[in-house]
Amino acid sequence: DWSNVHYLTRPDLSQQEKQWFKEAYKSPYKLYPPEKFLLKRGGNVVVEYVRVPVGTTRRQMIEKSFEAPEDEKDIAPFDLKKQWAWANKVLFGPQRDMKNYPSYVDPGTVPRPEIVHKFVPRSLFDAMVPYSGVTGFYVLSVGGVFALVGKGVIVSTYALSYFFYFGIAWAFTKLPPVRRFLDNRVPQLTNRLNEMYYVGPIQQKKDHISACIAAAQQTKDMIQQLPKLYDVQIENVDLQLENNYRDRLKQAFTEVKSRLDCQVALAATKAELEKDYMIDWITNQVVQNITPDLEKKNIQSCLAQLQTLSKSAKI
Amino acid sequence: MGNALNNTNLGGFPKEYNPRIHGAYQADRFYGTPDKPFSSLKVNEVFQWLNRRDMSLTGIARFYSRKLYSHQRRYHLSAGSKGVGFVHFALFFSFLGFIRAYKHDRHLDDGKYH
Repeated sequence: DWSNVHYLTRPDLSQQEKQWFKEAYKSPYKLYPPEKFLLKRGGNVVVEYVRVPVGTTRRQMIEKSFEAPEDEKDIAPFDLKKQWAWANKVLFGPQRDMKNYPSYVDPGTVPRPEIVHKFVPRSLFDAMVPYSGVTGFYVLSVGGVFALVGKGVIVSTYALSYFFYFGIAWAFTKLPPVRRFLDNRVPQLTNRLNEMYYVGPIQQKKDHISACIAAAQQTKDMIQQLPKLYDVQIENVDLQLENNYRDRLKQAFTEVKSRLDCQVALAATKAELEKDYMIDWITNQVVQNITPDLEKKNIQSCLAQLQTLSKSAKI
Repeated sequence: MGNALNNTNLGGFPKEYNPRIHGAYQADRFYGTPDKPFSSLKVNEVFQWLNRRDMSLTGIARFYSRKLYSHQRRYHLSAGSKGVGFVHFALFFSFLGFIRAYKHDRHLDDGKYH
């Protein structure tokens, strides 16, 4: 029947803790558990599945959650249910006198009875008023002390006067101008001391911690950006290599080009030489073959051409 | 001789205490027969009242312990007590010290007309 599966929480004890409990229950000397068995955040709880029959009430489920699990029953054979039932039967049975002996009241929830002058109960103070008036207590206490000193019950040694100085100083502080001054000055001084010795050091430590945290965060961020630096360094090296490559390429080109220029210049020079030699040789041959007779005929023909040209020229 | 301790009540609750009637034990309560409070007595009833009280050693010890616990509950364990219990404790033991030291300086109270 999986329809009534309820979730109960029980403290999560490890094997070591259970062993410690067993030993501590049996020994009168083992008192406090070691620090590793301290409470964890959220409580030492573990969710445990328990199958219960149909019709289980919430009260029954709560009472069942107080039971110890099977492997812890031998640590302390203690049944909370039984103990509560027995206590209820004995302490709140039919014979119980609730009127004269009411049930337990936690004294921490009851306010302190009224007190006058820091240790005198108000009940004593008020009981004296019908017999000796409002100043009865003061007259009895102060006058009684002086009477006993006078009679010699409280012996007047050299140190007794010091007790009265405290009373006089206390009365002096009750005067209004002194009271006003003290109510201003004492908090001023105490706040100064407090800031100097308590608040200041704590704030210094907090600021130091914040600065350390900020520095650590900054370092973390810088570490996050380091891959960019590595890429830049690699790119730098790549640029230098490219530079070297281009230099060498240029050097190779210039060398090759210079050799080829040399070849070209050589060929050109050779061709020019051949040309000039041929021209010179041809002209020298022609000139050698020129006779004076031929020269004379050439000049005459030139003059005749010039004459014909001069006739058609426009000057 | 060891059998003399068989019917004693050392370290136990008072004989008149019954949890079925009185409930949980509280050390500052009196569980005997109820009697008139001391402050409401007339002077001629004081000795009769004292005779009814338990004046044995255990009775006196129970009285002392009850008064201690009630004073503690009223002035020390209450909310906002602020050290009043400590002050009363110190004053009480100062008074006992005064009693103890009463004879210390008696040679100095030699005033003739006091």
